[in-house]
Amino acid sequence: MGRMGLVRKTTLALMAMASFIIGLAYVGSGLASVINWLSNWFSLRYEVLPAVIPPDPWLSVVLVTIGLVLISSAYYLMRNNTLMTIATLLIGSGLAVAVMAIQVIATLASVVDVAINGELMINQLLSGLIRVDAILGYISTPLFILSSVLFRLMRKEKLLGLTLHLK
Amino acid sequence: MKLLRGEEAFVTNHDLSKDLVKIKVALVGIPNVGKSVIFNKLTGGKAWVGNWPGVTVEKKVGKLIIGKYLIEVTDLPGIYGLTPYTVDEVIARNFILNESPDVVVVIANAANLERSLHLVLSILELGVKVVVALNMIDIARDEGIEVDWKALSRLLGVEVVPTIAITGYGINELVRAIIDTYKRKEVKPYVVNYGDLIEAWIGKLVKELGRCEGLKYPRRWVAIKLLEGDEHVLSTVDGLCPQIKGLVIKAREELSRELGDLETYITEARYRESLRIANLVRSYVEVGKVTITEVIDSVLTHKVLGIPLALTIMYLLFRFAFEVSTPLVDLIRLLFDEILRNYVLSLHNLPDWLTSLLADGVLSGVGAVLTFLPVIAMFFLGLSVLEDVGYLARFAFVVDKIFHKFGLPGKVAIPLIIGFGCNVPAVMSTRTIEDENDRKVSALIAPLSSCSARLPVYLAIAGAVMGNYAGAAVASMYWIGILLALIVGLIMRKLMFKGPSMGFIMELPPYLVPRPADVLAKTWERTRKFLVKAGTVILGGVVIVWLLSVTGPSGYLGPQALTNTSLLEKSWIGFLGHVIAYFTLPMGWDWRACSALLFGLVAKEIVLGSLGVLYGVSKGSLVATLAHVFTPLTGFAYMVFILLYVPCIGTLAAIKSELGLKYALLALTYQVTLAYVASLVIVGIGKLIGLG
Repeated sequence: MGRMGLVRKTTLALMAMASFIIGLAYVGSGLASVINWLSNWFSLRYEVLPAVIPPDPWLSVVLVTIGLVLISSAYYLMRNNTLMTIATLLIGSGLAVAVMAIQVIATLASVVDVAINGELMINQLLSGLIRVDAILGYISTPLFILSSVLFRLMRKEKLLGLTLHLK
Repeated sequence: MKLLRGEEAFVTNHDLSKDLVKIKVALVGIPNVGKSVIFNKLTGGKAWVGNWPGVTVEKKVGKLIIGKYLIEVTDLPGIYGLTPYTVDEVIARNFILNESPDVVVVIANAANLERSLHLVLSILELGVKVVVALNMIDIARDEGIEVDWKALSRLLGVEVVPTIAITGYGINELVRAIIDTYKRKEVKPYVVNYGDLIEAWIGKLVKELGRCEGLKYPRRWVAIKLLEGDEHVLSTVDGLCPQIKGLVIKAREELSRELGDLETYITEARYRESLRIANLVRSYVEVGKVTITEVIDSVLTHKVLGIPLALTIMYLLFRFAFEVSTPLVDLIRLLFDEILRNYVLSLHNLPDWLTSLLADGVLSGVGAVLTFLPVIAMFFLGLSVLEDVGYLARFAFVVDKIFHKFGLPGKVAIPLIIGFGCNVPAVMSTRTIEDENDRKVSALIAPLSSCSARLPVYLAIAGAVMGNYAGAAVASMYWIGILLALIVGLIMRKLMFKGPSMGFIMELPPYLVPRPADVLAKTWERTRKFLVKAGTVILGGVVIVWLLSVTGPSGYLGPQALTNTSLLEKSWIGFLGHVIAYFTLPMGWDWRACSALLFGLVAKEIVLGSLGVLYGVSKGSLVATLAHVFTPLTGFAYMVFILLYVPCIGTLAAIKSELGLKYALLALTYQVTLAYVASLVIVGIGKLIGLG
């Protein structure tokens, strides 16, 4: 591996570490969402950050899934599988950005909806934009941009490919 | 030379048909090779295009005029060879054999050449005039594959035209190649060498076939098909020269003893030849370069992460559809509730019955349905994007393991997904399933997939009684539908359609960036169907509901029946509602809610329109009214009943045309029973755990 390859691999390792931490945050938020849902369902008084984490079982599946994909990038890095490391980084952060984008669009749509009905909209806007899937999405955006750039560079320099193992 | 396409060509055809030379062209290719795109580019047509196998389930015809030639192009379903395993393959083969096209254009995938060459060789053996469109050369290059198309042309003895269908590259050359091939007088069938043993028997059979008078097909091709055990060819030949049957049986027995399964042996020999040709003309320019498709697939089709990722992608689809459309839903509601309805009510010079028909019938009913138009359009938009990106084929692949546990192949996932839009194409798309038992089961369970027509009903009821869980309740309908489809499929497979299920065989297309024009065209086409339905069937349905509400066994009751409950109970609709309510007593549904169910047989959208008419309100007020009619438990049971009970008339007709009347009646019966039992169980369990 040349000097450039070493630089790329070091960058990838740093990104995988960041991805691992963000992934843990996703999994934690997903579990919190389930707790909030159960708490609502059984009328318990224990909720985790209810203003930010909605009680939604499907959202919790989504958050845990994204978290697992991001965490797995660190796992593949440890196994020296460069391709899977970058693939999980790309897909995990890509989905995180997509979920964030949908949340932002949905918030804007609900603001327009409230505006049509002539009501105050600032609260609606804020509560939508600080939801956990949006916040974690903002954090994942640089990761997605960096992993896309890194993937393109490594593909161009043929640093990927020989370790590809499809199931 | 002037080129005219599509409708323009049709118009001109009427004026100039006497002077034009007509060329009949068949477009064939393996599934998802871009046939429909090439068809559209050639004819200016609007054939459905999708990045997954099985998009073309019926043949489509388009025309173009170039110079003195009128080229009539028929787009056939995707096939792998000329042995008819699936309904698609029967359609394609029958067209090539019986309609005798002047030129057969075989679309080949440059990135997966040997697979396409197998089909090319199968058709060349028939001795027809062939042009090969070597499509997807851009994708092949991306994967580091370069195909020497001139060498391929020399080896096959036919014109080969490199194309990139999606951009239109090579289309004009393809048209020229079609005309040049049409002009060619001589056609030499390609001879695949099947080995000494088989060739000796082919020789004997060809000699014997020389005595068959009226045989339309090349003798060598017929001999090969007879050895493969092709029943259609055997029965044709049997009618012309019965003496050959004994020879065929003897040949098959002798060869099977030596070579094993003869059909497999011949197919393998053809594949070997395809691979040989592919290796001669193909070179890898950049070995080891990873494609974006491989990278994405390594995660999206991962054995552990694949399923949760599929759930995540579906979550994105549903959130996009339901939440982004909210302001548009409100605008339409405003239009119908506040503007149009008030306007009609303010017209004092109209007779009472007409005011009531327009305000309480048409605007309440159609308005209640049209309010959900944005949600449906957004859903179709998202679905079209997933389809064109190439994810839906992966979805089928990912769920294959789960489906197999229920005795069904992963391919069944495709009708179930199409069913989210409409159950009619879902039933028709089962044609791509090879195994007949799998196909029948798939067509019978496809209506359990929650179509867009049911969505407005869920949205109204869930919005009325489910509070914060409205979204989850609506989404659960889709999962309940799929789960019950699998359970019903398993039961049918165990009891009625016994036998092993086929493994997963499907071409996974490369991921592509969807073209906005294609996505929007598809979304519009699907949404337009909904709009047309709203303007015709639903309008008709709500007018009938209104009529049945203002008349009864005692005669005309007047529009006041819609605002006077005791009067409405005396109407026809009241009578019917009370009869159904007797059976649904344990579910605790209002008789008006029961009456609305009756109209779902025509189209599921009418249920909501009927509720609007029967409660004398439109969407905004209907949701508030339904909050008093249902509890969360009875509302959820009602939603499940809507999901499961009777397929609409269109779907029943599709099942009848695909499988026959017996199966259409079976679908009708089992779905009503299933809906009744499921709703009863939900209410029962709910009450038991204190949700009542």
